[in-house]
Amino acid sequence: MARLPAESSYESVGARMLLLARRAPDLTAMLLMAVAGLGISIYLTTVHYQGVAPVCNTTGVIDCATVTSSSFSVLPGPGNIPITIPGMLWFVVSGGLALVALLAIWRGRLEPSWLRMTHLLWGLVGMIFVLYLVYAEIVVLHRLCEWCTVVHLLTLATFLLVLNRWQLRGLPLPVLVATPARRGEESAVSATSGRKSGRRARH
Amino acid sequence: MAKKRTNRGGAQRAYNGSSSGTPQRPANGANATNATNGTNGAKGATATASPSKSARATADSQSDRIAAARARNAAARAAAERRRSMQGGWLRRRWPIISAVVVVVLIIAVFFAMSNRTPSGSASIGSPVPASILGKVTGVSQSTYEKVGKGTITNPFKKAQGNPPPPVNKAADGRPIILYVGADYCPFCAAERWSLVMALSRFGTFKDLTLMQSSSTDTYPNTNTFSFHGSSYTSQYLDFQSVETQDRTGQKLDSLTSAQQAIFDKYDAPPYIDAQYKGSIPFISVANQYIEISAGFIPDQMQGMTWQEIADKLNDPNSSVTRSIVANANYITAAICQVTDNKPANVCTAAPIPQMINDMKAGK
Repeated sequence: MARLPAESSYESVGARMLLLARRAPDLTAMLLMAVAGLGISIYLTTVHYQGVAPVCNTTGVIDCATVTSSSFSVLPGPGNIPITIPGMLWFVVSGGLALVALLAIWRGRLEPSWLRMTHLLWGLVGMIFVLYLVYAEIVVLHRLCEWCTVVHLLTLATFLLVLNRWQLRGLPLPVLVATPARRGEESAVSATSGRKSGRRARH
Repeated sequence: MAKKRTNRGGAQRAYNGSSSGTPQRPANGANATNATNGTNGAKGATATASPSKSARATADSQSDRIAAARARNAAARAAAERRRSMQGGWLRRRWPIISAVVVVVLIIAVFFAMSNRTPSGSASIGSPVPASILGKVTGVSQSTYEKVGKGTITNPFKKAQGNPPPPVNKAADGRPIILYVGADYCPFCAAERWSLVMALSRFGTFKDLTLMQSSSTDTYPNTNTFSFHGSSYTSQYLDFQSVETQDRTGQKLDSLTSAQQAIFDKYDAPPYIDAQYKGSIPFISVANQYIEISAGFIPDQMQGMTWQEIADKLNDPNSSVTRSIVANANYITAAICQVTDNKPANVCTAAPIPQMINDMKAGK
């Protein structure tokens, strides 16, 4: 593993965050996608309750108004709860799980052992839901919704990233700050990073 | 300190998945004690007989070095493991992701195939409405709705008035009830269904609609249409209830519930309609606020046209068939919007609906 500059080189939080984004681009991307998906979900929920059409194409095959006003736009049962609300929940949880992993790297701690499998299962739930909605769009409604498609792609990308992280679950976490070499054991420190002991990496 | 480092080395072995579970030994094969003794030779023997501080310090230093060596070995194994896992073929490293993408693409391809499937053979009575037809009925463009407007037809609805005015007929969940009563054999029902499916698809989704023709022995025989028998409709804005009382040969089909029968008996009769038309079908009650009997247009222009031919013209505002169907659909939409509190807004505020609502309220 490449040696890193000493912690003193990264005094500002911003610089540390940039370094964190570079060292964990997959987690950073998942967090940003969760924010984007949450934003779109909030927007679609708002237009649902306002009873107006989203800003999008409304003619031909690409017709988000038809999709968002269809019976598939609400949860089964009373209350006409828009389906965007569980979508918001999904992105909040997904972003939260990515944040937990990022904080573990930030603090030089182990990420929880359940994290990757939980995130993978959560991503799988999201993908099943997305495929159901794509089925409704293509097979039942014969219409595609741009906003929904963006949300579906964000979910797919998140799922692929968590799948990749799950595949790499045996490898060491990225190290945010370097551990000063001490008595010739720099390799061991940089590789272990306090993973198994659960203690802070020595700074 | 030495003990602490030894533990760290042990943890690292476990992390690296070592199956032996035995402490790592120096490269020369000697155990830790031997290594220590081997380094110090006779001095070590003297120290055993009479241990001194310097001998213990030397022993500690040796233990530190051994522990450090173990840690280095463990780290090297970790790095090697990582390299091995990352140095496999690109396909080998990425197979879970590639598999997931392939599965998703295949599933979506199946969806498209299902979307484009048509009933075996040509379209026939009783078969599911092909996507190529239903998609055009439910996918009329906004510009077509706007260009056609009222078309050449007069308002087919009559405002249900009374003292007091009849209450809005709502389902238990608060959605207004749109009741349709018709029959498969009925040619005017056949015409009306094109507009009904078109208008109602702006508020919700039909499922399991089937192709139908009106009676071959009635007026405007064999008018191509759909049947609501066996279909379902879901909408967050309204509750559409359809009853096809007879099939195209006049055999009994669906029955009205007592509530539906009560509405039919009350509103398909004077003073809501002319006495001569009492009990006529098609009958449409828009939450008991607007009543329509018979069709908004006569199906003469549809004679001889297949389902597909009618559907293919539905985005042509210059087609006489389209003008009749779409104009009637606009009237139905305007009537429904008045009982859904103008929801959805993208339908109820789009031209020409607001103007038609105003005209209907004015009795035009």
